[in-house]
Amino acid sequence: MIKNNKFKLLFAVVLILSYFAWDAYINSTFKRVIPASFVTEFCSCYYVEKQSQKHCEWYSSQIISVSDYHIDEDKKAITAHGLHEEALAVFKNDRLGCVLMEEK
Amino acid sequence: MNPILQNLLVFYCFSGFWQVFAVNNPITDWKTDYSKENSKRFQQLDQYAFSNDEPFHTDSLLVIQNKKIVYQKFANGYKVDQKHRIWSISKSISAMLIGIAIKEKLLSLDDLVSKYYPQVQANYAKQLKLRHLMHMSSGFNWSEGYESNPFNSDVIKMLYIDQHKDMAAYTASRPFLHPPGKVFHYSSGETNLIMGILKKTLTKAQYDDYPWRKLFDPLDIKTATWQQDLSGTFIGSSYLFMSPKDLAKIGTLILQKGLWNNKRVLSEDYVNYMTSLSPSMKALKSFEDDENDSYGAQWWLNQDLANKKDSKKYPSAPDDTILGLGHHGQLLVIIPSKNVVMVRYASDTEGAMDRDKILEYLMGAIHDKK
Repeated sequence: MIKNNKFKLLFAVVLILSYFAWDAYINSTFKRVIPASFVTEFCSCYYVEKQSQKHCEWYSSQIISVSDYHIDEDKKAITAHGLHEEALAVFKNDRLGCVLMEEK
Repeated sequence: MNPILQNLLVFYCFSGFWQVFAVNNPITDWKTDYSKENSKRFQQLDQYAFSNDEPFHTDSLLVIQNKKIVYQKFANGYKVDQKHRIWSISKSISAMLIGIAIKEKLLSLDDLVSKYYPQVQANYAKQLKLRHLMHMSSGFNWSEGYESNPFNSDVIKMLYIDQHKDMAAYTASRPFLHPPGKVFHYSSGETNLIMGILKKTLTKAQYDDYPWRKLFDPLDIKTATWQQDLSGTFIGSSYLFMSPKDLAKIGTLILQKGLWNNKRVLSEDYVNYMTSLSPSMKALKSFEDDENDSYGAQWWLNQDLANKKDSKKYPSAPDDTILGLGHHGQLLVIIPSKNVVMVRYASDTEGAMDRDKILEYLMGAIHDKK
């Protein structure tokens, strides 16, 4: 009986730890999607399609908003933050448009 | 997190296409035909596409028949020569570049993918060929979906997460779910892998210039922007931008079976190949894709498949209709039997336009082929 209870307890602990491990994985991997998708779409909209900032903000954050974003007009770069992650997209030139840069 | 991501992921694409007749004619600038009679015929199409009561937003609509612009309209701040993202219609244009590379003997449809990407998993490394990627039938285990299972979406990983650095390499390393060539399964990764393979046959300078030198410049396309991933591979699945008129030139090249101003840009055989039904469609009972879909090589078709339970996908359009389809309502329609090309750009972020309805109104508006 005792042995059976120990097994159940161990199973529960493993289950809980697995949940937290999975949650951490999901958070670390997928939370980047929010700023990364924003900067990619905003940069393309603003520098390639040459749409207004207002339109691009709407288009790029229609699903979910980032906490904040910044347009560096000199470097033609868009930085955004969301869920404690940062992403950067840079406009290269008229032919090649924008590129999503490597995460820091 | 879950609900957020469930909603998040719409940034994507679809694509696809055909068969044709056509007259080889110079097209540098189309003449217009805006007669009163014409305007009347296009009224229904106009009202539907630009309705304020519908949950979609058409940014521009352009119809060309018999080499004349018979209808065009712009909205939401878009102008005639303004670039617009075409999302997955990019796939069809990627396929055209591969056709040019084949004509130049840089590539063959029978090339093994593992020749260029050794990370292809060993079990089918000696079977997976370029032609399987063209037909979306690699057999890779690939999730194109968003809402259904965003945490497992390979598209999301490929575009925005770590794998965005080299999208082709990520795709090439996917495990197999089926033997190559047996099952159609739409995958943006396969088109990016195609563009990665093309990259390996050229120097960086040649590759960066290739779409312009071989396709856009000959067609006098001036508005194209094509984004690359961090490894310098064109994102063939999704990130090509151009004006509606320039996309109509792409459609016209298909209509003219690869000829432009009496110069051959694509071989007629290759155009036929792109717009003929993929063998994997004939066999398939696809596991995620719509049973009415019919697909060629990176182009959608409108063929009635005998082994499918329903009829062709768009009952209002002829069987020879070829389509390029992109996320958020982007649409390139080519109807060889009517000598028609239609381009629709949109920002359908809230609801989808009924494609068959717009094709029905298009068919009601156009003349017979001249």
